[in-house]
Amino acid sequence: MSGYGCRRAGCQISNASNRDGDPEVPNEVTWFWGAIDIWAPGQSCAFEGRTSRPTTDQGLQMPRTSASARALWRGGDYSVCAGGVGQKGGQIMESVKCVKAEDRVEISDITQNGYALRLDSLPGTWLNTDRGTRGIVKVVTAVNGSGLTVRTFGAGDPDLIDWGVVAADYIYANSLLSREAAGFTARYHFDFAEIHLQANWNQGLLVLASFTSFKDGSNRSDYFSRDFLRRN
Amino acid sequence: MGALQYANLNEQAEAQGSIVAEPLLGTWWNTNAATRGIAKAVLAGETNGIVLRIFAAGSQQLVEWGETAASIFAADASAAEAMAFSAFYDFGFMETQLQGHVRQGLLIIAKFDRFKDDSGRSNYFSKEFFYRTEA
Repeated sequence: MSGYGCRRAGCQISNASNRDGDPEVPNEVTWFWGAIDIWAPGQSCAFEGRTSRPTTDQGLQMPRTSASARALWRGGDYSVCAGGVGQKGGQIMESVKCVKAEDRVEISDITQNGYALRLDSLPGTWLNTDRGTRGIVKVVTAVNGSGLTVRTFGAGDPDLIDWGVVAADYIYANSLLSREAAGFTARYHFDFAEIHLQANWNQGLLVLASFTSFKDGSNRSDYFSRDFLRRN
Repeated sequence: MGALQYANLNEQAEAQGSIVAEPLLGTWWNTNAATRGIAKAVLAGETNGIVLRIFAAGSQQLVEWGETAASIFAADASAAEAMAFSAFYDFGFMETQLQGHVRQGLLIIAKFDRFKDDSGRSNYFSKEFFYRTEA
């Protein structure tokens, strides 16, 4: 088969296998959004329960009907094209996958100095800007290797309630090209409740969202709260 | 029943029972029509709970992420109306934790995107604002 072209925008191929020469094993391509064109001369192509026959000169336009989709066909040479990402013979060409436009970047834009984020902005003792809060009073964050630990204190009477230390689940930057940590998520598992913390650092403040789900049968409402904490 | 356990004083609250989801339900559009992130969020009540559908910006048309279950939250442990949700999408190459809350009539959605594809993109946080349209 000679050449291929990209006629479809808005689609990212995530996986493809070229089984050319082995008619017993299906060719396969999976994609995440948009539509793709497949050129597979003379072969039947099954897509989500439907079968179509692509032609040499037209290609088969495969729509997407869910978050991801997969097409299978057997034998023959083929070419697949989607969203400026061309693929032939099972080799992905300059592809990063995404599900929204802001995540589409050129490979060359990505800093190739490792994936770890600099944590300078997050460690420290953070105090609620509302001194009278009855919720989260204080959060202590500390670097632990390439990760972060979180220790949270809730309002109590007479003393603060120490929730203990947990490791942050994940650490986040404020853009996909940044290497500066600007947020984290963490979870507390208590007998009576689960608390999911989601924090981001903004203009010197730690903005802390907490989602509390009760599991003690008390009929208390699961609740959301958002607090602003300043570095001590 | 024994004394309530709590992690802070806000949780010493009188129980109200189930949370009413209506304040969150509907179609929410991004206030920034030129967003390259989430363009539209639809929250609907289904028999199995609350379902979220996200439509993200694409190069030519919106990109539907499909449906996912959303957990809803009230403003405090004794409140009966939902004002926030959390939801999760896993696309294989990345996953997204979404948390939304209503404030002054706007839905604020925070996204925590985590890439799993070794593309070198940083996990990142972002936030967008949405207004509700009439059903």
